[in-house]
Amino acid sequence: MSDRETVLQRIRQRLKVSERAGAVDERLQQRPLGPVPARACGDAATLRERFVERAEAASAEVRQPPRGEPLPTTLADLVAGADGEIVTDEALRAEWRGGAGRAVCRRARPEDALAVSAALCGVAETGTLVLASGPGRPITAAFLPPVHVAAVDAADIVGGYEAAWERVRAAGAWPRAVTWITGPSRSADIEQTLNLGAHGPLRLIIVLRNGQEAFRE
Amino acid sequence: MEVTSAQFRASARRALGDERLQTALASIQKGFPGKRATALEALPEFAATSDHVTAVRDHVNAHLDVYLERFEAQVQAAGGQVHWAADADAAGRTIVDICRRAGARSVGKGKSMASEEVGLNEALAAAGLQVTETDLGEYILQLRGDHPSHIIAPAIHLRRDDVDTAFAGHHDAGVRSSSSEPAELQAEARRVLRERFASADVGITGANMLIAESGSSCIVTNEGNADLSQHLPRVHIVIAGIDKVVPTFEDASALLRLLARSATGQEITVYTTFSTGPARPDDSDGPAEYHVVLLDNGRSELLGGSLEAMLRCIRCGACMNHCPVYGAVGGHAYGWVYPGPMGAVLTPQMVGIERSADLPNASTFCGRCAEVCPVQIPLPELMRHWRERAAEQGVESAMVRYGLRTWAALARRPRLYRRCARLAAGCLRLLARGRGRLTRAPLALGWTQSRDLPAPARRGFIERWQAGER
Amino acid sequence: MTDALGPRPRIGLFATCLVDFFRPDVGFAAARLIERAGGEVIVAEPTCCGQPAWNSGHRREAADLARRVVAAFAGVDTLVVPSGSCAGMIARHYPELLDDDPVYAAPARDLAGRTRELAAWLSDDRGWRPEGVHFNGTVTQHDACAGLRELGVRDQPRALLRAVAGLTLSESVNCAECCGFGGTFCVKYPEISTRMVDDKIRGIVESGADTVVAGDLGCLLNIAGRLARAGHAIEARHFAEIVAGMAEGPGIGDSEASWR
Repeated sequence: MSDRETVLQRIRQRLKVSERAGAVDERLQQRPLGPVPARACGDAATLRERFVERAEAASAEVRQPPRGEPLPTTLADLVAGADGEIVTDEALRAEWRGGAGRAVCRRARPEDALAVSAALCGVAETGTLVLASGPGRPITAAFLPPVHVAAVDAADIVGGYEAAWERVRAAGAWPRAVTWITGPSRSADIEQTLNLGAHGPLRLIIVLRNGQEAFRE
Repeated sequence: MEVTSAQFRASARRALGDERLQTALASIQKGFPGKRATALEALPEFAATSDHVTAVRDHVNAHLDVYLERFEAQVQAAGGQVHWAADADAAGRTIVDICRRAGARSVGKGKSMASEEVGLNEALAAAGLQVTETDLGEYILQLRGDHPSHIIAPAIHLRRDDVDTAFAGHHDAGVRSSSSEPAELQAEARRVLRERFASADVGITGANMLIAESGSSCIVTNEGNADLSQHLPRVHIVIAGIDKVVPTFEDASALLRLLARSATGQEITVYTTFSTGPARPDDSDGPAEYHVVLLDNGRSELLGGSLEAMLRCIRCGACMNHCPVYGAVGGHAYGWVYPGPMGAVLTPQMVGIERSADLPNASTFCGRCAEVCPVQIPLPELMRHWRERAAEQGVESAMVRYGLRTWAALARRPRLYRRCARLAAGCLRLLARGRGRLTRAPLALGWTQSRDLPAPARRGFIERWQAGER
Repeated sequence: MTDALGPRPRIGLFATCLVDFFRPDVGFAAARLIERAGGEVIVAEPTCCGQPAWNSGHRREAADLARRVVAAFAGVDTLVVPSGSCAGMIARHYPELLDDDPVYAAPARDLAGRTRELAAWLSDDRGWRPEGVHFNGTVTQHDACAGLRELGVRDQPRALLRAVAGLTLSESVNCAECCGFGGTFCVKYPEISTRMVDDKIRGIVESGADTVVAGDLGCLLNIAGRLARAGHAIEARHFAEIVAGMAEGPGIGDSEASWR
């Protein structure tokens, strides 16, 4: 008997029941919600404010540039300090043409100094960014470079995690990786002393923009 | 990993006398409980979410076979492979096989208690693979040949100079940090491990959840190491217990609202990643192969019995963070992979009660573990279950067995009991000589090692009441 | 007999083994409090609720003892227990322990529903407060685990103590942490138990209290025994002694005037 059959048989013997597929499939289709916290609710302005507040509480830096400002301008200080190529999403690459020509869309490498991603959405309840992998969207960009920038449009700030999943479901083909990011990487494994920049980025910069829904292009 | 749970008493005594360990342990009880309390206060819906997730976990456990089949089908539909492992050996063999077929030489590993449980590193090393633990705490332990003493803070028993010494013994002088400040040591590990991430052929991670609706694995970290282990290598292998399934992303979201708050007092961990199958044809990055190894190893035996609630466990560590016994002796005294109250329930299941009878017994049943458990596992009740099994199998000490039997026999015969009690009281009072307490007493066992024994009354309450005294 | 509140309820007093053997005054104090709060006291013979056997995994022995308690107190309106731990055993564990007993399952569930810890009964059920009771001293309360977590006993004894004239209540930061008694735990794992009671005592000393009270004699014997060994002059008492105005005698483990 294969391990698969062994395990399933053990479970069925212990549960002493047989056909319960109906209840399972019903639940998988209906996807009932649990309690959605009050902090995940509110109008757009409230959610935007909460997103910024929670993200900063998690040690992310939030920049809110004027409408229409291109990323190279908003990130001029970071670009000046970073040698080599800037790893970015295909959807953002157009913004880098002209002034800074070093923006490339490819998987990240250990030597990369700066990456700029487009977030699918931001979640107000905990200041969390939602990123998805895909064609033209290297997820490694969010983890290898010491400085990671994520652009998100104010229109893409949702209240809670459930609303974020609605966005992912609406975006089409299911991404291989969906990553929630809340602040820069950290560890407290040595003497419970919290230090930023464990293996992932030392800095997370969120560019919260108005009317530039790059991800949806 | 060798099971040393049978030496609990000796290990506990050693731990209590180990000043360095005691300093480290004190920081757990100072840190985690307060942070958890603050995080719970900031989420008024925590209790309602706990009720909801508890119900979801029970629902899944009652339909576990079906959920596993649905999960398997969805993994396959996304281009991944599912492997079933009935026990620890099967899990090790399966993972070694996947690595061999992929022609792998090096493995980068995220922190996984399931992998500790099956002794995966030993199996991989025996097959000639070079394994690097990438979680900072686990990496330090690997260099020291040590094991985790806490399920979410594996190196909690170490201090900065222990880490400094471990790094000095394994890192080239060129990458060494200039001091033993935690920030410096962390930066040193970062420098060393970046190359390992990039060069690993296979990444192995655990899973905090498996999502049935999509066949996804979910893993949370603060360091980002599990992400580097699953997005960079050619092959991603997930090892997860069969108890990790939840139905939907909505259910996962509710559970995640409990997990970090209960564990470290964070609202959410820095990284929460849901992986579904291998890279798609046009993806910019991601592994070419995605495998999930579903581990039973005694879990299915918990179903349908008085221990079933243990399968709700989300491995947050709140029970050990709040346990006064764990706080006194630390995780290693428990003698196997899972320490604290949850370990006192799981270890007997996985290694046998005859090798671990002290674990469920070494609790005052103070109930703090059950109070803080986000999925409402009645841990003292489950420990009592194991005490009953230990008593049935006669693995408890003869002293306890005969003591209790004598007591129970006496307590059923009131007149005999009163005569004996009066006799005992008389003897103890003679020994106390009017001081109201004894510094030594026959049959007081461990009591008078560190405590005086208050002297009994000359005549008992019942006797005096029956004699009309008021 | 009746009073303004209607017929006096028949209140069983479950004296507990430790009260019977070590501290009968707690039994007399509890009886006085039950009467003052309008109850008629019924004392019955069994003093062991079976908890030591139950917590050691000896279900059969525990069930034998539980049946005796259920039978002895079948006729009372309420069973009052001057111990959160024994009250918890009867109220929370008897139903499961005797669940498959054809005769005792229903009476056990019934008794469980009628069982109250002493302070909870006085304060919650009777709305009673001590009047004209004096105690000069600063008192800190240790919240015994079973009372606190199984029965929610926390504020009730404090409310009773606050109504005692001359008494100052001073909280310990670790009042809700286990003292390390744990029944057979303290003799099976004496070193761990000692470490826990030392932590407890540190909190008691820091509170500045001259008396520590609790609702469980097990904890009190443990705390008093360690306080004495460590040379602290802090008294340990059951809260009932103070609330009943019966705290003139020596504290737990302190010298008695007459000992023969």
